[in-house]
Amino acid sequence: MTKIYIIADNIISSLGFDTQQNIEKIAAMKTGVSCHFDTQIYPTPVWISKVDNQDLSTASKQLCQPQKYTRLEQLFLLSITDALQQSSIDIVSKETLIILASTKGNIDLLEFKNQDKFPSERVNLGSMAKEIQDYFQNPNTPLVVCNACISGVLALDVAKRLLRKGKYKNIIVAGGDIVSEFTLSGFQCFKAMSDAPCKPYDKNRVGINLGEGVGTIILSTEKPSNQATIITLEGGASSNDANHISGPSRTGDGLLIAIEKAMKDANCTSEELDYLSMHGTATPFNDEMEAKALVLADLQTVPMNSYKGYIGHTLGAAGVIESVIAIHSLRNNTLYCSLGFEELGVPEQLNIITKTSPAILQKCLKTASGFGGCNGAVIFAKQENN
Amino acid sequence: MTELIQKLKVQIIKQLNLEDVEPDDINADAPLFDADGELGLDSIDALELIVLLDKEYGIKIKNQDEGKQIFHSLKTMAEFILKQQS
Amino acid sequence: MQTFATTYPYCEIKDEKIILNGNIIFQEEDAAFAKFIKSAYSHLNLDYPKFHKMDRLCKLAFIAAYTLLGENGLKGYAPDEIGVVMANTHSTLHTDTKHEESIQDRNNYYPSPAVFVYTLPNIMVGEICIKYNIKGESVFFVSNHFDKNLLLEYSQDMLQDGSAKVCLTGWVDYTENGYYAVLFLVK
Repeated sequence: MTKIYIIADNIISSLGFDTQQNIEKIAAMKTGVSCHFDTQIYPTPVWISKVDNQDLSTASKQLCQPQKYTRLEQLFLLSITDALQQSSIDIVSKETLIILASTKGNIDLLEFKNQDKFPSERVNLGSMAKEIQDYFQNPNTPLVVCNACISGVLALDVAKRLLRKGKYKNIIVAGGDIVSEFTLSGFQCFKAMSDAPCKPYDKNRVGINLGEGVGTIILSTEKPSNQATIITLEGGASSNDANHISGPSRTGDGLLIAIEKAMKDANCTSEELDYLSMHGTATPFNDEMEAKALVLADLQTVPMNSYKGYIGHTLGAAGVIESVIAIHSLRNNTLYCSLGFEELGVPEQLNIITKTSPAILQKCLKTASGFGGCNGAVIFAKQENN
Repeated sequence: MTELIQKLKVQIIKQLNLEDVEPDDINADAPLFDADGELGLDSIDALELIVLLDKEYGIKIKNQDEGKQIFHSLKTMAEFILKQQS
Repeated sequence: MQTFATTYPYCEIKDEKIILNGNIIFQEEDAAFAKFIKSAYSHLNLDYPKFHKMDRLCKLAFIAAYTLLGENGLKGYAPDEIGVVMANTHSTLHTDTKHEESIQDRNNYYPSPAVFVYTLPNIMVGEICIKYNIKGESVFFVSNHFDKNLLLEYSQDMLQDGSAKVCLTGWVDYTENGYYAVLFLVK
């Protein structure tokens, strides 16, 4: 089976503009979730995780003609550029593909205040992808995965399939979404938002904090020569609950299918998994569903966390950003505490990481679940480069 | 009360997109969210009822838990509205 | 008129016509979409109340799937053996606009969860999965151009690598200015 190597990565979020800044803040248990009052995006104060506009403005000056790009496009370009700088892959080669993951793309362009800033078709994800493709002068039409909150994890799984087939040598997977009036109002009418920093798996959890950002992972079938420790994407899978379009399955059987298929694909047993990076949105139903699935998969004793307490729920970016953090968790042999968790609030006994601590970690599972009843799972493994 | 219930029936049919349901088809005392219920309402419908109460009656409900008892039946909904209005 | 040289059963919906494996099985000339799709629902003798809550994009996808599969088109496959690969250009733009309109006026601010839930294109996949109890792998792509070969090849890869034993693959797009749907049953 073709090996798939993680060559480089980047995170842009409320915690910073590169992976290192993000990991440092997480290690120090700092959250990027805060209370914002901006009537342009919501009538009342909201607890969200936002990329600082001033920082973005400063960073974008590095880009060629930043005014030509929307907010999300700027974030994508910055993130992919940073990841590329850590690698030596040829971005203009036909052997390199870009895969983007996003739930709503340039949806802020639909807002009355943003009309006329860009041509109306820029709201199309394909047009957003073209801007990114053209900026990097890559010859292949990017793929765009638009699959609710599992988009990021699913994009990694799509990359896995294409790399194993030998269609491409390198694939850049970048997932991104912005906090917008559109999504804030939507999640609020679903009564899904928390009016404080979110508390995944906690007894007092009430909902999510919306977040924004971009995560980039560069994958290659060529083994990196300059890394002492190598991370590989071992396997992945997706599934559907076939239960309800917005509520997750009450049994967890859909997520179980994705987890078991991913393990089979990675030739990995539940005993081999050292750590689980879960979706953990902090809604009452999602976290309970995950707990049930983990028990069914016999993974309830494996140390686990959710990163949503640090960076909020970044939607299309979540699967990629959180995979990057999980990868660095493996690299650093560190289990990061599940911020926001105090008292168990699911019926199943889980091993939620309550204190950031060292641990020998070789393999981890990353999961995501989303509207439409979809679930995704990928498995990463670490090895020393000989 | 009867007038309010009749008005609610029409509003609910519209708000919840209940195709082929006439006001007379809805029993004011029957549980709205019964699993075997005639109307087949789900969690999204429960959230839509929260929007309806806000939009048509200016009453704000915080979340589905708060709404559980209020939305038990059309009758309990009407009683709640009348109580809020007095 | 685009014709498909394919060995897979397929359903196409365009210009108020439903075409199954090359044969027009239903049409309602010059009907507005809402009327057309409602008539199609009746013509197919569907009894599925959830249909009426779907947005136009999902209704289009659902009717295409039902025309192609009927009630028993996926019998013989375990739920997790069935894959779904779908795509379009406009994602959920029609419903996005509806949601946006509901939040324009701060003095008349009533966003609707029943509208918002349909602002993700993979919901059409979810609706089909619920109807047919499909629990397998799926993905939704968005692209400016309909690349039929890319979608069929991706589905064939899923069959080849054992991710699925059968795959519902297609393109379903809806805007105010036009709509088009084509679904293949890839085996």
